[in-house]
Amino acid sequence: MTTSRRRILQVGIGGSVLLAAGAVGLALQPGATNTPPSDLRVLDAKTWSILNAVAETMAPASGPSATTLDIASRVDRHLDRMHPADAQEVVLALGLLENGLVGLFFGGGFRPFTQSSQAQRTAVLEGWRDSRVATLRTAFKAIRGLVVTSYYSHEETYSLCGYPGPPDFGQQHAPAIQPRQTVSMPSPDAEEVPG
Amino acid sequence: MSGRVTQGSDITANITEQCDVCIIGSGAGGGVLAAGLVERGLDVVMLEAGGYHTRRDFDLHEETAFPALYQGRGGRSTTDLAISILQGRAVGGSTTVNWTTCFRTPERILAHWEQHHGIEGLDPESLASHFEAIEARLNIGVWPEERANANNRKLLEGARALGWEASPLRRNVRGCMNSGFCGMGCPVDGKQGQHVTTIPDAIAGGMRLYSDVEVRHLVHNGSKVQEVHGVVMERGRDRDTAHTVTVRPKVVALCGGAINNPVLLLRSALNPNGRVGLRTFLHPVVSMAGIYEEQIDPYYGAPQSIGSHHFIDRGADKVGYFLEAAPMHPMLTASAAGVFASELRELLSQLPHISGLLALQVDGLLPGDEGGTTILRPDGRPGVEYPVRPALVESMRHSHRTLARLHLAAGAREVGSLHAAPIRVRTEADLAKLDAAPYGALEHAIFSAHQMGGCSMGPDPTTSVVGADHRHHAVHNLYIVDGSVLPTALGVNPSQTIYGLAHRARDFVAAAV
Repeated sequence: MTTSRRRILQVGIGGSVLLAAGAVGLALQPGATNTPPSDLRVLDAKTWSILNAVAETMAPASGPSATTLDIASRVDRHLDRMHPADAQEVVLALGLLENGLVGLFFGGGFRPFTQSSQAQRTAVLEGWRDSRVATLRTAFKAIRGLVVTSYYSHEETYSLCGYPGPPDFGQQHAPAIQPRQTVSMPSPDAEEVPG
Repeated sequence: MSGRVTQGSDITANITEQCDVCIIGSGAGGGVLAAGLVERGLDVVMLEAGGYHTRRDFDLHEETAFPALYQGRGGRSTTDLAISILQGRAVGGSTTVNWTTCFRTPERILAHWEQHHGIEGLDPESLASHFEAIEARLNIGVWPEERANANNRKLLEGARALGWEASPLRRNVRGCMNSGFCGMGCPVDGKQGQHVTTIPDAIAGGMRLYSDVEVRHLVHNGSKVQEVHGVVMERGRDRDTAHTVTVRPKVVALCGGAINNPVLLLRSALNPNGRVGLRTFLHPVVSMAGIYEEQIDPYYGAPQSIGSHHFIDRGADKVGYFLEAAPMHPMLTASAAGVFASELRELLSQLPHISGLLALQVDGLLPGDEGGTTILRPDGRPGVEYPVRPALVESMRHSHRTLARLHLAAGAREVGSLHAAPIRVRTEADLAKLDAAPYGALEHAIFSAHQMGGCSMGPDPTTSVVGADHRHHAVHNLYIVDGSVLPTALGVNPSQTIYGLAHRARDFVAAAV
């Protein structure tokens, strides 16, 4: 998950105002939840649904759907590995996305993100991507990074990329390395893998 | 006497250690230094924030490797997210995940340091014996051109067609199987990272290594470090456990790398002259993808084997850059692209036919180019603020034109940029579109695989952090031995410079005990 986040909402006064709007988005908007799994770690049902809507929008029309691959839950597990402060910024950015008022001012319509059509969601995300507000561009990059890295690191999507996957060197069965132990090395002219 | 590795999961109570030297960090600097100190009969304790991973753990899937082996679980970046920072976090540091490219420090850089930063004693002759020793231990040698993968060969073919310099690179490998997975941990221990070379050497000689221990504080009185305070971290999650490791050493060697070193000093209120964190350099990288009719398979084969320094010197008022290739696995490629949904799917469906070439910008050489600043965030963690200044914007624009010309000369049918709205180039006539495109922070993907500076070396205690002997100007038993001391970027991949400096620093640190 290479591109994720960092201080996405600490970009000055404008960022702080938007941060508040994100919290409002989480508090007030009714939203439309799908059926989030019960074992969420960082997200709650509401933010999971927002993320699921983002993932559905960012996944390709042809290919396994984001819901099928449960991208939102994969991102949730990654957020759990991250520092809590960073994960919290992502949660707030999701709230911002859901806040219809923000959508009205910064691209997209007044509807909450989860209740918007796919075309409207795309418009909102592109609006953030191309926004003059640096905080929104940064937030877009964070959310996009989490979603597309989660989608394209899933083994089920390797075939979409024509990627055969990594070869097996049997390394899982290699002996543990001991200090000063000479690890058996392939000979220098070993056959190249995978070809 | 044999030492040991103690992993975080083995620690069930608070630990206190005494030793001659406590080394903080196990990468290119820490590993080489550790082996040298143990060889001199010193008692060494090493603390590493990352986990201890061996080839048995490397499943070669990006999903596993990046969260396990990189800083920020793969997500380290500048504070505005404009520059993604790939930096290792594991026993072996970045040498466990780097792409193996080795260069001796260029003579012109050493001369620049002497002329503009007053550093004496770092010249090609004095460094030669250190580089030779490292080249022998890490088996650094030229990777034969005929073993270059198609991705790297495109760089060579394009450069030759245009009459530009390009040549095979040197790599630290032994029995490399040309698999292409260096960035996810070598599955056959072909890469001679510190985790399979100097660190096992040091452990065999008695060093105690603690992994999963992040150092939070140096206790000092302004002239001497008395204690090193570390916290045991959970493996795989950025959370503290309840346990601590405290070390009372005679000498401390800080080897945590650029970004982490400055922040540890700032957390420890060790910044008497205000220079800590300044002049952080990243070799900011821009890239273009060439799409070819033939199969490239850019995810297989040694990631970097051809390089070009044709544009390294663009005149006194311009930022120079050098050209290399990047391995293109699906996740990293998806992350680098600016698009999403079907547009991204369409790009990635061509992955077997894509060549990814890089231009690495050499920051810190122009007058007034201070690079970025590593800061201490209120929660104690590092932040990197990196303004992309006009000189860099100019060199990034020039780089895009160069990368597009290279791909076209090598036979690409289309070349695409990493803008949110990709600029597509099919013929030389399209190059004008690149000239007109926007460049800079958040305009297109920018990466860093080389982090340097933040604890600059120099003779003047008012403008630098350590002297040419790596000793902190104010704290007499504190040495900083890694890429954070570099006063500028290098214009080459930094690992061998760090190995060489650490090899040279062994005697300085040993003498301080």
